[in-house]
Amino acid sequence: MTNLEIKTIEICRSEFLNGVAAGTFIDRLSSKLSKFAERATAGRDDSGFSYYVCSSTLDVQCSGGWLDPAELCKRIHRASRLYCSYSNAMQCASWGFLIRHHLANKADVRNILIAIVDANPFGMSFWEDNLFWGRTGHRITLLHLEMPEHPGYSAPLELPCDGMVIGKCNPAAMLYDYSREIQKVMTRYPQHTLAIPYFEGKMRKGIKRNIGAYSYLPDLYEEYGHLCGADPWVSIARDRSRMPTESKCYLAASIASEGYFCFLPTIADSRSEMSIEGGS
Amino acid sequence: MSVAMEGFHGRLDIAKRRREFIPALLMKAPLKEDELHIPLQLRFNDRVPMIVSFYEYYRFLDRLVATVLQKDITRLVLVRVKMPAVIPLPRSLLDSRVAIFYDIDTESRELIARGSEHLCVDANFKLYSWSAGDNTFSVRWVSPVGRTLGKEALEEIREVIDTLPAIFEYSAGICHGEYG
Repeated sequence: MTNLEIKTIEICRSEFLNGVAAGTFIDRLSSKLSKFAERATAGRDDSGFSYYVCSSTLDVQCSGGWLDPAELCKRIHRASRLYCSYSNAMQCASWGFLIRHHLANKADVRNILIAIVDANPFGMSFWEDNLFWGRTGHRITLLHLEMPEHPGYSAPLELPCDGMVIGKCNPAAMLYDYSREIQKVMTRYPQHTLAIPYFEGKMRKGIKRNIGAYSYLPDLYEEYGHLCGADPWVSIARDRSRMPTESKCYLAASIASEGYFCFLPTIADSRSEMSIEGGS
Repeated sequence: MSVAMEGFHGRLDIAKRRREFIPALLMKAPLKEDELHIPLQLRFNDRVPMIVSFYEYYRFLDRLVATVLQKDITRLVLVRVKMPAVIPLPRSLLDSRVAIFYDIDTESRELIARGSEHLCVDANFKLYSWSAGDNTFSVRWVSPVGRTLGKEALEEIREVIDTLPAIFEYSAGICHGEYG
């Protein structure tokens, strides 16, 4: 698979969504996500874009009727004219499943906008710190990825999604399974630098032992906590080993607590714009 | 644009519920005792009964999706899932021909505009006590090129829906509208 080109990674904090009423939450979030769409599409044909929003932390809020993602997507559509869909089904790996769906069914729409929204509007202690993965950091991660022009995409046997690796580990032996998946995928992409999720000390130790042979970006758990799908994108945005004029290939990876995982080959170059609120 | 739509829609009915031993799966909300103000902020109807569990819901989705993919009834299925992480999704839902969204209407509209046929599985079941589900569902074939499902395909789908404690009916029609 040709790498998806990273046009933009924007990371910002999500505290402005905490402790507010549902109406205010949707106003603020739709405004933030719509502005990103405006910036990404400025001066370009908007038919070449699709927009997806995903989240791990907004679970009870959605299924309990506090937040209606359909309304959020409608607002974004009204403001940007882009189709926008929401999913939280695959938890931290939702962004990967959404990209796979896009590449398999809309390969001619070359620009993909993804918003990974993690916030804690109710201030639930589970979503701050828990026994499963430790501390959670909450960020809104806005991605603009672009498919390079590739005539082969129209051929049915050469779908652009074939290069993505998606699957499910056994949650009971997740780190073991995940390490094996990493080894398999790195055989396929030996030139790529791995950007994997942040894990707290014990979990990290097990993973680190198995990725030592590959090029990988540092774990930033101490600084951010676990980031529910945003971690690989923060790592790429923070990669100080890449010279501004250099092109570098990354394998962005996420894994969810139920074992869903995804690996996406990407490339950043001198045109890639990356920003992290509060600096890096 | 004229779009052929057909399928089944209905509602779970507690009177049709048969006795069955299933794993007890109560919603294990990640809340502490001093956080019980949180469910009070949710907007669910406590008069809507829970008729099926997560386990049965996923079993239903698994049977339906596996059937339509194995029998080649469709090459793309959109499925509505509102609450992740209670139990793992069945493997059939991870198939690359399946896409899962909270609300599948927007995605369906985009696919219609692109001329892509698909099956929408839209079940809004109340699966735990704070869920805003209303126990309605629809399984809808959508064809922007006007193709209808054959009798056999409809029968395959009906057989799976028949495993639910539900009342449902078939409907078909042509929708005219702007999907661009």
